[in-house]
Amino acid sequence: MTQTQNAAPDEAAVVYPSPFKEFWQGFSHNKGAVVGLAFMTLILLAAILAPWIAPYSPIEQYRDHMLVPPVWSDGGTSQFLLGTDEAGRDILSRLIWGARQSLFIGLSSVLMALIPGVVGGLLSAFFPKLLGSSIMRLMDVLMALPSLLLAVAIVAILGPGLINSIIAISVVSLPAYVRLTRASAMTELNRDYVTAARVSGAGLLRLMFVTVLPNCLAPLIVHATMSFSSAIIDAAALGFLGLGVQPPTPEWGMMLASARDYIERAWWVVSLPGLTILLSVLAINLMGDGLRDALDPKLKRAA
Amino acid sequence: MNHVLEARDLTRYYDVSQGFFKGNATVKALNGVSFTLDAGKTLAVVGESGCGKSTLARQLTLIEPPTSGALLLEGTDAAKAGKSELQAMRTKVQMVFQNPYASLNPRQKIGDQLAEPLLINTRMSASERKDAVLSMMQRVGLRPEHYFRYPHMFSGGQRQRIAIARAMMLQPRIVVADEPTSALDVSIQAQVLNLFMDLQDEFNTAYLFISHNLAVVEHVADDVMVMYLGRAVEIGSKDTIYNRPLHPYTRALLSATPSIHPENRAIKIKIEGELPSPLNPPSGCAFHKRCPHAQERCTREEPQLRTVDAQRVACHRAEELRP
Repeated sequence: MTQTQNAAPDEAAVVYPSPFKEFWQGFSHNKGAVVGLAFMTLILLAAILAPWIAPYSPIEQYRDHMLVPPVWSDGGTSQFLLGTDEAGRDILSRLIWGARQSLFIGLSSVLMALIPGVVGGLLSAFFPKLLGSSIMRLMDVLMALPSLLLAVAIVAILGPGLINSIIAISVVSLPAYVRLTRASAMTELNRDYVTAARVSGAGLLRLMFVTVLPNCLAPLIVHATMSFSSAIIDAAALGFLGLGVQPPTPEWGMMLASARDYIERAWWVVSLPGLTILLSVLAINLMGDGLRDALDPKLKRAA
Repeated sequence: MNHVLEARDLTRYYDVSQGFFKGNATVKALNGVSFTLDAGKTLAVVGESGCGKSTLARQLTLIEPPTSGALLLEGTDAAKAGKSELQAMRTKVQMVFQNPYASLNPRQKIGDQLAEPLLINTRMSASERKDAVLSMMQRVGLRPEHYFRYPHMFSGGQRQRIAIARAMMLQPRIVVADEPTSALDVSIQAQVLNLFMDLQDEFNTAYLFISHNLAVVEHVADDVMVMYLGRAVEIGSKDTIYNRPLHPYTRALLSATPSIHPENRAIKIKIEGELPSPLNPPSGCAFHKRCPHAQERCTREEPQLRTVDAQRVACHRAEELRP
């Protein structure tokens, strides 16, 4: 027994710890992140399995059952578990189907802003003179315009639709990523380890993505998880103006926006989609926290 | 004779903006420095803060081109080298930094950081790289299980040893050490210095050792170069510089070393004032405003480095002031 223990450190030194296992160790240490991950997995499963688990079609209108309350309140029936909306559509089915659109909008607009934003920010930090200042002035122009107005203008140019509204939302949220990346990359660039990497011959791409970027991740992850929710809300705003997802396609933000008129008579029509958005955003933010912690070696316990 | 490194009249000027309406000013951070460095030898560069030591270090690592002058690495001029040639030259000069807390990438495992120079510059396989890293780690006194640790899990002395190991991975001809011990505990300093010297014996590396700790310099150096305001004021072997300094500035520096023996304390040369601004250096000898022996000639004429006795000095009155 003691012998195996003595041999252990050398054995451990030879085997490279699996990055996934290491990541999971850090991630699972944060209980909130695990809860968030579980909730998001649930939503994702619901979105994927929507045709099989949704009790009704999301666009079918049951004219006899308009504004039926959820099953647990007075007048609710077990036929419609979460009640129906103003057109007699089953809210549960719409939420399940809507998860597809909303998750797609959130994820793709975050990714489409994050990737060019990070690249632009790194470029402007590495070449501060000409390229950097022109990128930053362009971002200033984007920031100077009211975001919704800019998004509307972009959709007006590209034409309404889901993909175009995602593009509009990502363009609007691009400046924040560029500025965040540039600011943290510029502080990191002055550190000695970057010089050391240069001296050992690291090329531009290696310096950017291997040396500097991992050290700029913390604010980016937090901002990305936060903007996930604002992307869903913005998409709803565009949809409300008739520029985004077109009714009757189920989408959480749209459901929220179109149910405003019934807020006094039928609380569930507006609260349930709102609650779903809230919970998913919370889950994603918790996950983001865990992700940041898991990727920061300083927060890991010594092995 | 074949030198590993030869610097000829190396200068580096920086333009600094002085505000919107004024033009740019030029800081002469390095103003004509020449020296040679031989394999297996250590040249120590001493001088007070702001005299251009660190600028010199940056020039030598080739990450910043000099404004003028030539830098010959094993006979090849860095300024005339092509891109791929420069890349190959860069691997011959490595650097160890002052602050071991900032010189290691906090998000990279020690093993990966040590393997990075090999990954970039050699065609070794992953297992060969790992073997090389592990043997280097053993060489600097790190245990194999440190391979997968992150820098924040180490103490300052250990980190500095990791930084030294990283610099040595490519077996460079020259290592530029920019005050490598000044951020460390005194007890650790000796350990790190001895590691430096052991590695020098093993790999026959030339060191350019920047320091303002004269005791450390005395311990490691073969030759000493004293710098003042971007210029070398005195170059010579360690023994000559320490025993018979000729330049008034060198003497003042050496006399500033604290001593525990009262009999050694008696003669203390005080230099008044501060280092002049490199934006607006004084005319003539840069040191004349603070020099106790300054004459009228010193304010007019800039002294050039010339051989006096066993060393080279930039002082008009070196012969007269000889002790």
